[in-house]
Amino acid sequence: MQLKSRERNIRHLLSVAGASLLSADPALAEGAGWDTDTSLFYYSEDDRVTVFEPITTARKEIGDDEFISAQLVYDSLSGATPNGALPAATAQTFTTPSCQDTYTIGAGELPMRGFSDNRVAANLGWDRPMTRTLRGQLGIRGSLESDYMSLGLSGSLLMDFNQKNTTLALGFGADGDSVQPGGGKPVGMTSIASCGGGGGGGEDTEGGLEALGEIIGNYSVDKKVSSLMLGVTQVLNRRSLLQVNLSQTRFQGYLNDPYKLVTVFDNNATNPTYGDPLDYRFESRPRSRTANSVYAQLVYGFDEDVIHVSWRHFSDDWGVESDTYELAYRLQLGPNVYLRPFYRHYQQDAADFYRHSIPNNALPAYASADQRLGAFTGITGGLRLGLQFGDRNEVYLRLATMTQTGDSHPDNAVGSQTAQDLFPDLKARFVQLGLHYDFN
Amino acid sequence: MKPRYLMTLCLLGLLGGCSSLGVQPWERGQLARDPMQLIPHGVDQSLDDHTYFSKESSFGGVSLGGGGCGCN
Repeated sequence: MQLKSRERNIRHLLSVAGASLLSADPALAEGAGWDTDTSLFYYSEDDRVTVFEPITTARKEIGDDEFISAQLVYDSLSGATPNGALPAATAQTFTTPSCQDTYTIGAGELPMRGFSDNRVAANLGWDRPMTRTLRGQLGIRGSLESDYMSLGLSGSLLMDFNQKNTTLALGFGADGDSVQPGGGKPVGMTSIASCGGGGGGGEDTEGGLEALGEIIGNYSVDKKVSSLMLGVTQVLNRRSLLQVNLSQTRFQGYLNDPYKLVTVFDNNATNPTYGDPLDYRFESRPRSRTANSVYAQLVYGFDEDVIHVSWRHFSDDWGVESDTYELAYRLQLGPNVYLRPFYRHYQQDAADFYRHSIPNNALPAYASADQRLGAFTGITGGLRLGLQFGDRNEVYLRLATMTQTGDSHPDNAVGSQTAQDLFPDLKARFVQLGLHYDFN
Repeated sequence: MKPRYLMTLCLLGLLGGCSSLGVQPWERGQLARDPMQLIPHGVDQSLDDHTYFSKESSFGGVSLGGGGCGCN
């Protein structure tokens, strides 16, 4: 029991700097068979996106404390997503990204673009001891969708000190992403009338599985992502652990959302059309981004129950700054049943170049009306119910609701804009049903 | 001093001052329980990471993340 508990302690410490693979489920046990966890995830936003996402993770011991792991995810997305333009007092017509088609949005409605897509993602990992106090891990990963492909690898080292009460983790990740929207990659700040300079003429990506083969053949690196993490995990006492991680991620290349627009409005206060949309430009973001985060988590175990509390502060050179607070409490209701309510509070400040719209007489070099870059508060609340059976198996159900709220009537709204909701709320919920089964 | 440099110093200080904290190997029973893992439900973490990466401008911190997607 002593040896097993120490090994499990090391295993979960891998979550400090492991690739998605190890962070996928470091609690999975050692043994000769596969330890698996499979979920069906259903996510739905009011009037917007719906996602159906089966996911499975498996881990197996292949040598003395040496493991391989795999994760496979399939996403099916559909619905409508905001195209970045503002609602207006009159109907608005937009061309699709490839300029092959148009769609019209009614007066007062949030402009949204219908879409459907499929995504497949897979990760493979390998971890093993290197010395008595050093453990290494390597992983490769890839994802594929109709207009995007990502390939990457990651690695980490974990070092133990102080009788394994302290663990230092150092990790890296590197990804090369290929951005292939149907109409070509638009040049930022060009008008949609010119099809963004991306050439147009392609097909609007319908997202069928047959389109995925083309993406692989056309893979080239449009965006590079590299990240480093330094972490420390410290056992405080018999009941608690503290983890602190510092991370830095750098992006280089084409960072625009190729489908997002920015409304150009009439900035002449003497015009009766003051505030009305005159044109739409493709958004423009800088070609580099450096982001830093500090994350701290405390885990405390009561006799049966366990509480996790964490805080993350994030900031980048785009001006985005955020704080995330999370709390989860595992309430053991009996030997085989637990309830784990959780709460997340997220507060984000806008990117420097975030604009709900841009004036026709002063076009900036960079601008995006993507609400995800804006200032908003995100709240998530939910719970997980687990029914345990066997040694380490369980069936579980997780439910949550999420909201994002921002400033619907900012001070810088002008003319006809003042009557519109410039930051509609996002409301979503998800349901997840899963089975953790250890075949050992 | 920028907050992240201050945090780095705290991190290093934590390492240096850690020898007085901790438990003996035979006292790890509570810590070894599955619910005490830093990430007790890895699949949930992966799903949440992807969801929030698609809906917010911040990401990561907990681990090195799961690669890219065309969702942000």
